[in-house]
Amino acid sequence: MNDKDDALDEIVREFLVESAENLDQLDRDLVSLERDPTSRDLLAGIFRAVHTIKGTTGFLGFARLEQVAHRAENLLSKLRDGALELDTARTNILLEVSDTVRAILAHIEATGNDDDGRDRSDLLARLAELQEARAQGPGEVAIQTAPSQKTPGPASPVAEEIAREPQNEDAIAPEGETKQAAAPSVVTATAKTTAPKRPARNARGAGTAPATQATAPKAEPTAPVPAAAREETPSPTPRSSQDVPATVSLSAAEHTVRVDVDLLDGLMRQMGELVLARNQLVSHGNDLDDGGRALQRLSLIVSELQEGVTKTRMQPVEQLWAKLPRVVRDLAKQFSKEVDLSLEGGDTELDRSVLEAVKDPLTHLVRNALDHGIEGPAEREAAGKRRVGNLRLSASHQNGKVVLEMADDGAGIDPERVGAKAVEKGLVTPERLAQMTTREITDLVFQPGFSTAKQISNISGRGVGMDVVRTNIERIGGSVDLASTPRAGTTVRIKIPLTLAIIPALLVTARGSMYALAQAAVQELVHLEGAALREQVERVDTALLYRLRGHLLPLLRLDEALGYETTPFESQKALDIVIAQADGEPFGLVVDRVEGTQEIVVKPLAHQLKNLPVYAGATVLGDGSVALILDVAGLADSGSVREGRAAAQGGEVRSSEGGRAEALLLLRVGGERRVAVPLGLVERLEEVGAQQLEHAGNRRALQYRGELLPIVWLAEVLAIPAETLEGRRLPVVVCSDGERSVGLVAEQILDVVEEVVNVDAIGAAQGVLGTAVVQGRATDFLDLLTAAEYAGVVFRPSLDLSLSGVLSTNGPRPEVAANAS
Amino acid sequence: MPVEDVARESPSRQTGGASYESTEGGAPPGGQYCTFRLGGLTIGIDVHKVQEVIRHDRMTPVPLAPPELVGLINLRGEIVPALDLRSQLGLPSEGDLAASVLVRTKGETVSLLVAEVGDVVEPSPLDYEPVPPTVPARVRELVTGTFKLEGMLLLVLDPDRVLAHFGSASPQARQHA
Repeated sequence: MNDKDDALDEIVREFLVESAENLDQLDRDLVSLERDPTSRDLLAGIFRAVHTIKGTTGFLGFARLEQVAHRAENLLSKLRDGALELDTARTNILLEVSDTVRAILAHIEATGNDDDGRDRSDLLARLAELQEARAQGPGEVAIQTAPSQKTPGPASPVAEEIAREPQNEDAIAPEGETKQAAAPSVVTATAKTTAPKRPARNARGAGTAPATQATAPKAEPTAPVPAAAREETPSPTPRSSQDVPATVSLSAAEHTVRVDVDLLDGLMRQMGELVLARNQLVSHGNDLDDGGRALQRLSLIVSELQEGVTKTRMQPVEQLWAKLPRVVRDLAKQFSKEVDLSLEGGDTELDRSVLEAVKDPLTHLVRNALDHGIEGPAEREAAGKRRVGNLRLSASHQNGKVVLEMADDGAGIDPERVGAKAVEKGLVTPERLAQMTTREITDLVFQPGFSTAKQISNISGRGVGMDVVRTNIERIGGSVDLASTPRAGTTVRIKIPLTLAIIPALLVTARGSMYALAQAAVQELVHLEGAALREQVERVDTALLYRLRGHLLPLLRLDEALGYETTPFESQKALDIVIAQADGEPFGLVVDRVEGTQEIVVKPLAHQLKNLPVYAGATVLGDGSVALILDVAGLADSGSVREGRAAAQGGEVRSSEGGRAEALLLLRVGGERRVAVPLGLVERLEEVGAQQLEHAGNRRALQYRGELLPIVWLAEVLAIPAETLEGRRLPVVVCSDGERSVGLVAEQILDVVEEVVNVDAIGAAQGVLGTAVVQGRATDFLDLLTAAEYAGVVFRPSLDLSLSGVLSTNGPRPEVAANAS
Repeated sequence: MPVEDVARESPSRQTGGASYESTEGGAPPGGQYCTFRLGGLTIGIDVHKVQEVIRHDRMTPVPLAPPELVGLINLRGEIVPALDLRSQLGLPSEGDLAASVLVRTKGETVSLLVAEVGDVVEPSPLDYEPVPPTVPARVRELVTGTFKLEGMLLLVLDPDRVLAHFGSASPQARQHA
């Protein structure tokens, strides 16, 4: 009794999963079909999806679902046979069918029956109507073939007959046979019409190959190729049977196994333990009799096993992409916009938990792009653009992370409007706004409570947009970056880790206990003592503030945040501060000691501890002890950080009256030229031996953190003679636009200064944006874009080099002689 | 009896709770109980609910957590909260808690810290008595009944109830403390 129920449940569950996949495919195909209404491949695929659902529902006794699917199938079969043409009304109703079927499936999943108490008679009636309303269809063929039902006319009647016959059997056939029975009708359709077009839709996975052999022979007897088809195709029979595998996607069942996600998670967990145990063993390897050879082999196997297990949890980004065509289509219709969506890099793989975490933020960004980004057709034409807007999403691997990029060619973000709005909403003061760079202003859209929608639409513009996107992405150790050119478009770049299972972490101590912080949230580490401590840390009311390169950051003492009693800060001789960032706002976390970095496996906390916002989880360290993982966003939300922010806002305005101080890295280039680089663009400073440089053609590069870092001599950029650096160690300034890096070789690194500078563009020359007086001496401001080009690196042009807008990088720059090679 | 033996004698590890029927409000349960000493009391837990007994070496404190949570221990890679029930049972918080009784309820493993591990006993159902009404309410919340054994009273602790009260009862516990 129980067994039987279980068996049935199993079938229903299988059906639900399979139908969900079919419906996703259906949505995609329908949207594609709307653009290419003549594609028989797509129609055949859609027909098959609906047909499969109908067949199985009949067998499982879901009468309501079957009814909907059946009507839809009738409409589809006419479309497929060319008796009707697909227009917007029909596409809409088919998408509505897809939604309805989804809703009923959800109900089945929840309750086990398909009676969700909703009346579908309207939908059914409209389906019937659209299937009869031939006058709407522009196809003359349809009118001609309609009366000729009984004569062996072209295409439709034959197909219809063949298509219908097996269907009636499917309704009562067991599930396993349904697919097979469905095949002949599909074959008929494709054999007739798709042969000249060849497989446009590729079959998914190699698993379909065996299916070919099974169904192709069957196709032959049931599919007498009609005369019409013979006229169209020179060699219909052999080719059409080759086409069968392309369109009959009998799923990759033979090559794949469905595995419960919990099981995979369990495997992954145990894998992590195995790796830790292995690492502990390896340190004793030399004590073993065989000199550790067996251990070495074990170690290798563990590594491979780990790689394999990690792979099982990887899923292609395609899964995210799959939902988008439908979303974009519906939104475009709703906003009366025309949008071309292109999706790239769907085969990029990500851990399923990461994929899950970016799904909502990504959908939100797409909605934003359609609502606020891309203009209406008329507006676009007025601006001299194509009527149809472009929305491009791509995914790729970069430096061990996955980068998702969404670019539109819409109106872009208008800094003035954003600024005005931010002031209006009280997010910044007008004084503060006046000092902000364009980029900083654009970034205001990430502020909570910000929304620039002129009128609130029901999709976006409710003020819970970009800040939520950023928070969600940062929560999984990723980052969101926004670049926009007014009138030309917006690009949003999301960087996310490949997996959440293992993350690099910074270990710190407080009151003798070790805590871990996700490295992704850590910006820099500062050790303060003596005069620096007294000068740079100040107390405003109860809040502690730290002055870092002109910015006032709130300080949070970790021991205090964890509820310990603290000694007054004035009694401390030195402070270790971790500058961490949450929601785009940095703050300083005062810790007892910084211990170092370690890769950690994140484990959830017991659910009773989940309501403690300061913890993100726990982990087992290399020595087997447990350490809590701190949640940076949770810490930043504590009272003292908020107080500090409020105090800092006031303090910053006061301190920066009379121009804003710039943090600059000063270099000596050639003999005595002094060159300044904005410190914000400097990633780090290195010293390398000349012999470490590698030469590729005329270019030089350095093996740096597992990659090749292109190197450029600043003296060359400035066209001045370089000092011989023979036998010396070279100072290398690593600059980055956040994605690509370049190493600048100077003669000497002089200093880091903070000064209010007035850059005069008069000094502009090759590689120099302008000149200013720094530390009482004339100093050239390096044009980093040009310098990067010397090394063959193209930096993002939107990169904010502009020193608070003093200089415009968009303005004319000295031409770069296309030398280098 | 050494700690390890206790663990081995509990036959439940594979079967989980499958054969176990909830005693809540029902007839006095027969069967076996692992016994422990805690603050002068003898406590029994149904053997089917005890996963194992270990001696923990290190524990990581969790600041801001409810006071009964002493810390987190590493159980072969699984991170398990360790609870000190003494304040909830109205016992003085003195003396070492050397052993860790790992109980598994509702898919979660929790460690209950005890002073001493005793035998596995199989008391006669005839000796079962409900919790006397004189026992404080917060103790009654965790204890389902008692057995009168030779010269001592065995309090039957229900790990499910312990877990249900963990965290939620803490404001109360804080007030008491």
